[in-house]
Amino acid sequence: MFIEIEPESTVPIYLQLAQQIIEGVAKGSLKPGDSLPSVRSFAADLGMNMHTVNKAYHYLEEKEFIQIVPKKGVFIHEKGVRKASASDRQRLSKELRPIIAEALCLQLSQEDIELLVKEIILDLKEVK
Amino acid sequence: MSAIIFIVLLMFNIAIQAFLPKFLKESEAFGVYIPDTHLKDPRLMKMKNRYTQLVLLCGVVVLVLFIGGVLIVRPQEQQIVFWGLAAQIGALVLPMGLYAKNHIALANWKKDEKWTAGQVERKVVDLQFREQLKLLPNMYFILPMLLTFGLSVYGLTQYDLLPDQLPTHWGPNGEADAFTEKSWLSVSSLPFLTLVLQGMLLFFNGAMKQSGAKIQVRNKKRSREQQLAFRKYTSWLLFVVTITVTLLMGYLQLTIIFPETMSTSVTLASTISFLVIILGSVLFYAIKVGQSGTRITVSHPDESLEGVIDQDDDRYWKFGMFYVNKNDPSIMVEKRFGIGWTINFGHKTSWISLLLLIGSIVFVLTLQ
Repeated sequence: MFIEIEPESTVPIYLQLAQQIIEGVAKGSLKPGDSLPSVRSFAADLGMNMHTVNKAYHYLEEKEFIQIVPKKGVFIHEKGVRKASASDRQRLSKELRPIIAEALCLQLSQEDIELLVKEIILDLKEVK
Repeated sequence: MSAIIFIVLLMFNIAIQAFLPKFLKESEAFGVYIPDTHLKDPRLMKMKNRYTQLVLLCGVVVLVLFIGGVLIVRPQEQQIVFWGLAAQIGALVLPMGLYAKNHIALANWKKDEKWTAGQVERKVVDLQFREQLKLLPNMYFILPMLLTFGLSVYGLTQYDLLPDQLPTHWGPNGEADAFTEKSWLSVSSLPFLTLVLQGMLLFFNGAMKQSGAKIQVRNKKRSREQQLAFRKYTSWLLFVVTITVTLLMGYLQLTIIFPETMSTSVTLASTISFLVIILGSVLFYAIKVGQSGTRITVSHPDESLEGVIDQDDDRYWKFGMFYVNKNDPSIMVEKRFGIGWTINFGHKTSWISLLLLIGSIVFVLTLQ
């Protein structure tokens, strides 16, 4: 699976990395148990600092999307695709909140927002 | 005889240098990154053609001077070697000057006309690249080293039987023409240098595994396949070099141990076949694989992406030749102007290995 990074973007690079890996899991191009490159090779491919990759990996590890097994490598977490727990739900709600608030500021109606969500889900589930 | 070897080497050298721009990928010319929008710039085409013509012209002049000099003056072997080296250096310096001129001109056009302005730069990573990478295992490079090591130990056990004068240099006719006093050091210097060379090749093979893949945003699938193939072929080329070096050096080591049994014609034959195999493999590599494998045909269509270009990393390429990037953990990177690899001068390991290599060669030379 390819990952594309825009170094000049306002979104931090580590977040771009993490978000695209999560999207890969959502789309099914990355399956639980699939291996990811080591921090060193990933950073070499990017031509960027190893800290950037480390940060992305820790971010993903915290969210239980990847598993870092010392001396073995980095893998998509067995529980990468899972039933949301109460705390998962709470976290998502917290993360969504500012975006919904922004949408309301932009005077999007509830239907508009729902439509937007539907479009994104369709796009993610589209088999390519 | 040495004149012929020099002529062959010179012709090889000049041809490779002159046609180099035609072998390189379009997106990098004279060490400058060219965005897709300017690939077909007529000024660029003209610059490449002029480079080839000029280098060929200079090369022919050097070649004619060398051949003419040898035929008219009929110098001694020693002098031919000296002239040959001078001609080689001449045929190397001229294209370098021309390269520098073109590099500066091109970099200025790019800056003044803002070739990359208004485009989004993107960097592509393939998550499965290392899994698909098929390099020869390091074992293939360690085994020849064991052979060299064994020969060196064997040489040392025969120490008392060795003659007092050991050959250190073999003329092009296969006869030893320089000697040194026998000592524990001079007996081990040849295998030691061989081990250094073999160690370097082993190091290259290992460093290539870690080296970053440069995947192009507009043709991801094609450039990935080409990068994989390029690395695989490089690994094989390193292996061929290791094997031929091991055989030649091993043979020379044997001639030191058994000076009577080895004939000069065999030495000559093995030197020439060494040269033919190395030059042949390099030529095959350049023609079949090309820079970053761009000459390998892969049937993946280009993607049309408007307003998106690869990341411009000119700032990490000093003079378009030396890669200096402290953040990049790659030790080896693909060359920009030329087919092959160079080291990341922003990396500590690169400097340490470079110093170790130079140090060990100087060490052997000064002690002899």
